[in-house]
Amino acid sequence: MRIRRAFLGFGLLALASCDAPPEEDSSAQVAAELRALRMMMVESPSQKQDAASAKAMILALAPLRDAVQTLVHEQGEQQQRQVMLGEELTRWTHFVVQNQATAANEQTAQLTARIKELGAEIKAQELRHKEVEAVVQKALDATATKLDAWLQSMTVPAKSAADGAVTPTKQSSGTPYNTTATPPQPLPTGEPNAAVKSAAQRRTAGLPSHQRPWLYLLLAVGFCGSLWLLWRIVRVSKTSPQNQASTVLDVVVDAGTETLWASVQGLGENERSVAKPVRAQLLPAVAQLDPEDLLGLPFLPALAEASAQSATPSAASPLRHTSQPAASMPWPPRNVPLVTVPPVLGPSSFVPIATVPSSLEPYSLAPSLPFSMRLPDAAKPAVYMPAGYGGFVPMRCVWRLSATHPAALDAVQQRLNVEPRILQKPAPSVRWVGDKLEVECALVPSLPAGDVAHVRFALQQTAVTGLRT
Amino acid sequence: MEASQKPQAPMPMPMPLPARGCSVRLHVGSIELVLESIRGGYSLLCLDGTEVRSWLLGLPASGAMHIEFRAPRTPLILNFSLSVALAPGGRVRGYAQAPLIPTLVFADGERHFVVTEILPLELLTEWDASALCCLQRWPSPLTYRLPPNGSALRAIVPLTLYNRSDTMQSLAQVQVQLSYSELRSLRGHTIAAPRRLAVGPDGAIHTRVQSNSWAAAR
Repeated sequence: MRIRRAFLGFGLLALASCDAPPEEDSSAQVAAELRALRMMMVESPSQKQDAASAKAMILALAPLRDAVQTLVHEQGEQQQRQVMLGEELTRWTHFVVQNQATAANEQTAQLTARIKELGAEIKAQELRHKEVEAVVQKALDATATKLDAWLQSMTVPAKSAADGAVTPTKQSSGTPYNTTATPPQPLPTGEPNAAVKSAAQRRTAGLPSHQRPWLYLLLAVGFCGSLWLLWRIVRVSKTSPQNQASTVLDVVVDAGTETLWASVQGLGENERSVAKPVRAQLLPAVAQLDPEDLLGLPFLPALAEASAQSATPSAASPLRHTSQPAASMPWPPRNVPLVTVPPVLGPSSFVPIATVPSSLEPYSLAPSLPFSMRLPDAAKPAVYMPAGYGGFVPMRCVWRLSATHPAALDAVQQRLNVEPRILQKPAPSVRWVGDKLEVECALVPSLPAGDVAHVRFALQQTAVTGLRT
Repeated sequence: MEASQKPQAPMPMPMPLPARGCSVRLHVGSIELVLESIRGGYSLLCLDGTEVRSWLLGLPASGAMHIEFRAPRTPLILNFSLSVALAPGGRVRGYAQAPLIPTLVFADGERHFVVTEILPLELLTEWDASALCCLQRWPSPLTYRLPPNGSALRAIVPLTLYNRSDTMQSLAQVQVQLSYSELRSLRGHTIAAPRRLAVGPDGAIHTRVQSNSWAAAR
């Protein structure tokens, strides 16, 4: 019995511990499978389509991907570069503003001051103009008034003389004569300077009729004298040296002609002798020369010969002889005594007139200047050149340059050909002398000493480096 | 309005001396000048676009520097770009252009010293054996009234070429001599006195400088 109860209890406990019936689990699994299947049936076409489209898009955009990546990379670089440029521009702006602020302010202040000065000058000039106008107007009024009074005084005595009422009498007051029979003509009312009129009328009317022709004669003589003086002044001004030059040449001589005249004076010739015989002999001689030979001036013998032939036989010595003072010489030179040079044996026989700057002496190896000639004092260019424009004789320079570069000769020659401070005719020359380059050239007249040194320095640099610049 | 503008004398461009460690830059046409104060003196740098020129200057502090635009000292031969042919009695009017030379001048009170002349590279100087003086050649147009902007400094020279001979005359170049005193500044340009060049029967050219109006304007 006891065993039966134990089995029953154990069985009840086993029954109590059991779950839902197995039919419910299978139905739930079937339902879950059905849901999963339905989901798969619903979702599977779109997923396949998405996958296919994604692959197609990836394949289609594959070439663009690299381009986009490159663009993005370049854009980033440009952005960085722009930032750097902006910073640099800012720095430059600050730099320029700092550098030019002072100069711009000073220039603006100077311009403002200049404008103020000009305005003040214009106002002062207007005031002076008005004052002059007022003075001229006043003088014209006074002159008209006096002239009117004089005319009236001239007419009144004539009338009274015709009437026979004028009786000249001697006065005790010192005035020689006065009209006592007829009072002065009444002046029109409202006319200015009535007292002046009446005084002039009294003065002129006091002359007797037989002395009035002398007055007219005196006035005529004075008028003719003033005309003669005026004509004399005009004639003197026309016959001044410069005007005489312009009338002779029928031109207004400009500075170029002045320079030419200066050169002609250097030869000691007047314009006719230079124009005809000297030039006729000089030009063919010069034309036959090689331009490079002009450094030695081989045409000067022809020049000296031509000058000697054109000299008058009365001149005992063909060489220089003194002439009248330079200040009294006519301009342009006419009938100037000849100044010739001795026969030329070489460039060293000419005495230079151009002063070699002291800074050039160490560089110049040739003691003479080929273009220099003896010139009289009147031919000094300071007479014809403006201030600061003195000198027209080129300066010959011979320099020996240390050259280490093999192309130094060509480089120096090219440099000589393009240097504006060196004369291109006669052509500059350069040649090897030992291990150095000897440059022979002529510099522009009156070149500043700093420029002379700079030309030599530039040539030296070219000879060393072999580069033109 | 134009008639009221009178020509003025060209004003020099001041170039102040910089303080120690500072520099002054000036643009003169196509040329740039840099004056820098360095230890022991001043350094002047000139850049003309193709070449750099430099000077080391020793200047007293009492003076001042300025730049004058001077006319060439020697007679100038203007080579025209066109050949001019003149019938008897015919005339041609035009505007030649002459170079202006920037000249750096140091003024100490009443005394003036030329420091340097910046000659343009196109200006060629040569010795004329017939005239016994130096000449400078410069290419110049004749038909352009004004020089192009940004070009080198030039002076406008009004020219009238007249043939008073009985034969045809041809001109490819003329010779003029400019002076600094005749230059005038008008509407931003530098103008020289007008010139009338008459070709005579012998081919010689007679020059007449019409400077009356310029003298009255001074």
